[in-house]
Amino acid sequence: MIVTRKKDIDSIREHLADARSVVIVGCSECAAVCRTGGSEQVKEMSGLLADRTVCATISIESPCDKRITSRDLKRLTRELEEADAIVALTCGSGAQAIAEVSGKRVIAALDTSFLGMVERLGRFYERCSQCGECILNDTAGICPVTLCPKQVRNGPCDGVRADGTCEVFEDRPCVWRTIHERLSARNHPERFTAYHPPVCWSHHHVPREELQGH
Amino acid sequence: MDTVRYLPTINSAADIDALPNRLKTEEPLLVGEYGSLNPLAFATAIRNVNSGKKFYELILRNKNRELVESSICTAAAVGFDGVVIASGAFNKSDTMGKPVYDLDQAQALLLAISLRRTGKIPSGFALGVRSAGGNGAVRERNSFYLREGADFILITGSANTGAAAPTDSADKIGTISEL
Repeated sequence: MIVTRKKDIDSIREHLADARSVVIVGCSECAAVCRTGGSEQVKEMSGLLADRTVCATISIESPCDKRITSRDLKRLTRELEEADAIVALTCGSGAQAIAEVSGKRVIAALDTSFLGMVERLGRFYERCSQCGECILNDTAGICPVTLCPKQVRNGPCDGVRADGTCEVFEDRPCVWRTIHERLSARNHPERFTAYHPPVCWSHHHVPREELQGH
Repeated sequence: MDTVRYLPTINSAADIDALPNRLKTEEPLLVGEYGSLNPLAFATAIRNVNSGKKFYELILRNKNRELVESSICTAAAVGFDGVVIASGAFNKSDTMGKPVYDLDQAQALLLAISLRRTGKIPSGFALGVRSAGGNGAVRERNSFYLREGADFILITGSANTGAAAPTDSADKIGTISEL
């Protein structure tokens, strides 16, 4: 899930200074779970922008999916024509999909943080850095690239302390120690020193694309 | 490998000038990059402080692989006897800069070995790795470093050297003693 944070309302107002009428778009998937762009937050934003005309509000299921956004925004053709801007309570991908589909000026109301694992509402944890070269099968299903502050792919680093804790997060065990323990418990200690070469960053030049079947 | 004396920071030329009074004649010296000045710029002065071996502590923090290669080659070119590859203390005070951890120590070691194999650095240029001591994961990793061709491993003086690597590699385990 994409974890998002609310932007400061003053910065949103600043970008909307010349917009007298807006459409507010929320996300009923990730941003709803984050409580940053669900229907409640769309309603809240509508109240915060009550000093201008709110032509319409809508919560789109996966606004990052241009197919769905295109379908849902067709229901608001007249309101979109009236609006000076769209306020997007979505991740950055959603905000841009809305802009590409609508052709309107879109003001992003959220900051996009990370790909998160949900423990419960309000508690999100990063477990995948989207490095593109997954080594989970060698590391007992634990991602050291994300859980190690130095993103070490062949650890531990020289900063691990004698008691096995991390030098950066001193209250946490070194993730590579945890990996070692888990691999040993599963009778696959040989996987611990399987060599993982440096990430090939030539595959990471932005903007990335995945064109399956082409 | 015995104890290597360690100067983690150079903040002025005076830090180098003071070294002859702080080192014995043949004591090996490891010079770190934690100060405001880079040891590579003081190679001649560092070489002359005594007759011991001089090692450059190559901190991987905030270097991408191109800078790592350049730093190894430069250290060899300016007369250091070898490098000690360290991950580098995580800079908690500078939270605004984008952290760069392009290579880990294993990856940097294999890069350095390839530089030696291809003649970009001399065959006698020593390749060491800084490590920790005391738990099974560290021991496994240290064995990896030695198996792949590290000449030695240095661990901090207070760590358990006996647990750092296989007993048949004890002569390749040294300790670091800060000046």
